[in-house]
Amino acid sequence: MLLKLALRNLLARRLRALVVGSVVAFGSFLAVLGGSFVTSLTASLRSSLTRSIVGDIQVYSDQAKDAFSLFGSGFSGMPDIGHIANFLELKKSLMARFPEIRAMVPQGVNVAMYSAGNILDVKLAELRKSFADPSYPAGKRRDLEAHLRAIVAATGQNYRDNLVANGLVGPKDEKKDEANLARARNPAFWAGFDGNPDPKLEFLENNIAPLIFEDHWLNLMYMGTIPHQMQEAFPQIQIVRGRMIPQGSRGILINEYVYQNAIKDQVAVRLDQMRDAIRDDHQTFASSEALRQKASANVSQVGDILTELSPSGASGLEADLNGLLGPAGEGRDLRSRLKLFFDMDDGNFQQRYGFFYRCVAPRIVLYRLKVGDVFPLTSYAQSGFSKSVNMKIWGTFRFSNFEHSPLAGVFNLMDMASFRDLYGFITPRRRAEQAALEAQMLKEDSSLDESQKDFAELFTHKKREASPAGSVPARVPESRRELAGDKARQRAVYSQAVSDEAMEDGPCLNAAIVLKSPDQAGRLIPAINAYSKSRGLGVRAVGWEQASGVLGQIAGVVKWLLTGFIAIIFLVGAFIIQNAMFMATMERTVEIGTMRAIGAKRDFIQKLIFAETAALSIVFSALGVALGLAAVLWLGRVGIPAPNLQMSFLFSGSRLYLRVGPAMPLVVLALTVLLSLGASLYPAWRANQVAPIRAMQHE
Amino acid sequence: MEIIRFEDVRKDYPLGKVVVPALKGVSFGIQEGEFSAIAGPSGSGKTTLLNLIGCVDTATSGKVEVAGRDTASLSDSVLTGLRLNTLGFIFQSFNLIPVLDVYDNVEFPLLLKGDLEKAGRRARVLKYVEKVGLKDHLRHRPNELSGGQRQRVAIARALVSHPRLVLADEPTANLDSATGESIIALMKAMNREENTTFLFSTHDQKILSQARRVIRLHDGRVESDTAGEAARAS
Repeated sequence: MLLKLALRNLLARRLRALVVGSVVAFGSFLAVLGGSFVTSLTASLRSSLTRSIVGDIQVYSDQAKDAFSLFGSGFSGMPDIGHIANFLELKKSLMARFPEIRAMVPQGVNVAMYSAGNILDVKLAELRKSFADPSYPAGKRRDLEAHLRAIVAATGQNYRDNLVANGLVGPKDEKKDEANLARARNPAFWAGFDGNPDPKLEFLENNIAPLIFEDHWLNLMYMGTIPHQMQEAFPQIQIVRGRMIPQGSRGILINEYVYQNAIKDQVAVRLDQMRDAIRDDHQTFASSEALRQKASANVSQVGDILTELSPSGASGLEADLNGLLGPAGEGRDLRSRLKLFFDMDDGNFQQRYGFFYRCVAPRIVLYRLKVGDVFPLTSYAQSGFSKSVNMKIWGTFRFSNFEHSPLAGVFNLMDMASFRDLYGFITPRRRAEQAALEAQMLKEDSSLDESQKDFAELFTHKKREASPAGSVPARVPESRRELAGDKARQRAVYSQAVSDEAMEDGPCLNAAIVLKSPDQAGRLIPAINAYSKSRGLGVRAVGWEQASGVLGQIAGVVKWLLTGFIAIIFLVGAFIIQNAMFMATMERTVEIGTMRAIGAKRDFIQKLIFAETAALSIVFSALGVALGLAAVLWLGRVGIPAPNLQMSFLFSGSRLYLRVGPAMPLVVLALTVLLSLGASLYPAWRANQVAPIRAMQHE
Repeated sequence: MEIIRFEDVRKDYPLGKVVVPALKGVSFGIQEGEFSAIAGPSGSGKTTLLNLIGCVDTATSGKVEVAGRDTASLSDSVLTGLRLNTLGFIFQSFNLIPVLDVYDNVEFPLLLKGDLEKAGRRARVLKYVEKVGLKDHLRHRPNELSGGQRQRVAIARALVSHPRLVLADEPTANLDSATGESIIALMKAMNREENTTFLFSTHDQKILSQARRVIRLHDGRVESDTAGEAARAS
């Protein structure tokens, strides 16, 4: 009877029941959809992070001063997490004790700097290579020399406009610099260049190149590891160019994101970003301030392009530009033609984007580093001194799903031996190897003549004493002999073979553990911590969320935000339910009074109100849950497209495919009904207070 | 045996700062099986008197006994039980539960009592619905019935649980005179067949003529307590 009465009362007030029910259904729908979104997002992020770089568990020193986080804590600076004294011993110990571990790789994150130098440095390096290569075409070398002369000719103005005008040069230095500039501009300097180029190249590198204000410094964040083991343990590492660092070799694998965004020419980077914004986000120049700003930044960087063009390249480009833009008018030089070219709009972008890669890019330095290059990386070791190591680029890679993420995309992979060198770790094994190597080098050095020593020095791109950026103090060699030995060591180091065992047998900052079954992480973390404590291993284990720092927290933040949003919807819903039931009670006081007069107890009235609320909330919550499930199933098939790059990172791909567990619909249904009953407590109490005498009062 | 006993009952209603007396020392008794009427003009205290007997209101002073129990000393739940088991109500505005049909409305007190199985309830409901002449309207909702039909349902509902006393507050006030008379005739038949005590209020002389005893109230006092025309006629 109670249920019949409740249902009939609801039917009798259909409109109100429909309004209240819609709120309940909407809340349940959102709860299922939002809950599934958070679950899917967390699962997706977890899978991407644990399969790309973090692993299921991370172990690090229990002496760490800062909280461990592979992706940083959201603030700048590398956390001080101490180090694991010997990875090999730890690995043997943990893998023997915990058969659930599938793989364990040493890791360590650090930052190093590399100066690609300015255009004069780059072209001087090219010229040096041409002298070392007997098959280098003579015409191409003449073009290169002419380009260098053009750069030197323009350097005086650049020097006065930027360094002198900004007070960066004292009067004494200015006099010396002007004298050097005059010497370099003198046609006599370039006469007989082919005969003995090295002293002239050295003069230009040490005295003219520093006068060019523009410089390219690159901060490279890298992870030291055993690269091929890392690739085996982490399936999301995919080689894009070149190859994986071979087993037993030193070197670096550049992240494709870094390659495309930091190493690539910035004018080209902006053009790529503009193309993406137009293609993916449907932006237009007419509506997007950001697009217009990028175009105008490219216009202002025309000077850099001009200095990168060789004279023959410049005339070739001018001809191509005339073909594209029509013949130049009176007094129109290449600079103004290029400015006109880069001033793009919705009508000409596609055509000019293609033209850039066809006609401009091949004539400039599109990438400052290429696969196969050997370049010097400088890092500050723990001791505070800077350490430099020559590094070979074996290739580029990406973490699939994180292709567009600036956070995970900044990691480059480096062999553990080079990492230790840059970090300032010296293992006993390494110390012995180094001593042997130095003895060998000194022996070889004594057989070098002066010109060979000069070449050894020049080959390694030693930078000038101080850079305009001033952030990296380059060491001044005390003697040519020392320099030659130092450079030769560096050169020898990058080509030196290092066994897996040597890479494992030494310190690292942290280690990633990949489990046979990821679900065991929750049980294994406390077990590893207890084992480390009892055996004095000196390490602490954390799960992927904590190890991922700010990234791991994103899932948590999204979860709380959505929960808060749904909670607000439910609170509003609860308020509406309370009001609706209260009004329904007040409208029925005579009816309730009649029931009381003919013998209904107070709790019957209360139960009646609860039954009405329960019936309403069960029916409509079930409807909302069903709609939510349908939406989740649909979005699980087609996926939610990521609206932008940030979201594609959160989605761990271009689309997030929703999924839902069997418990969630039931939990949502139960919570909705409970909340609705809670909201009807007050109306039910008011109803049971209705006196039976109300039955006698005529309306 | 007296089923109702009033001894010097007063009932005051506070109206703002003023106290309005509705009953000013009323005393009388009603024997089980009577068919009696409370008469009097509007405001004379008829409804107040019925409310006190129906245990939906309490006296300011004096003693109200229903079925031998002093209502002032009873708790809310005992009073509820008394209303459920001993009393039946017929209201001026019928007060049927609008969302329930004839059958369900009549069954309602039986469900509250809970002492009969479904089949027993059904037999009882059908018996009383038939007695009030509505067996063809079992599945009609109150809004599908005429005023007279609704009051018949109310009578069936009041009698279905076999109360000892049925209280009816102006049961014919919302009905035309012919229907009103038929309703009183029905009540009278029930009184005769079931020996149920009926006490109803009215100010309709024609209806009063059906009563065996008439207690006249005036300004909160018993003005007269006489045998009705029906009694005299019989």
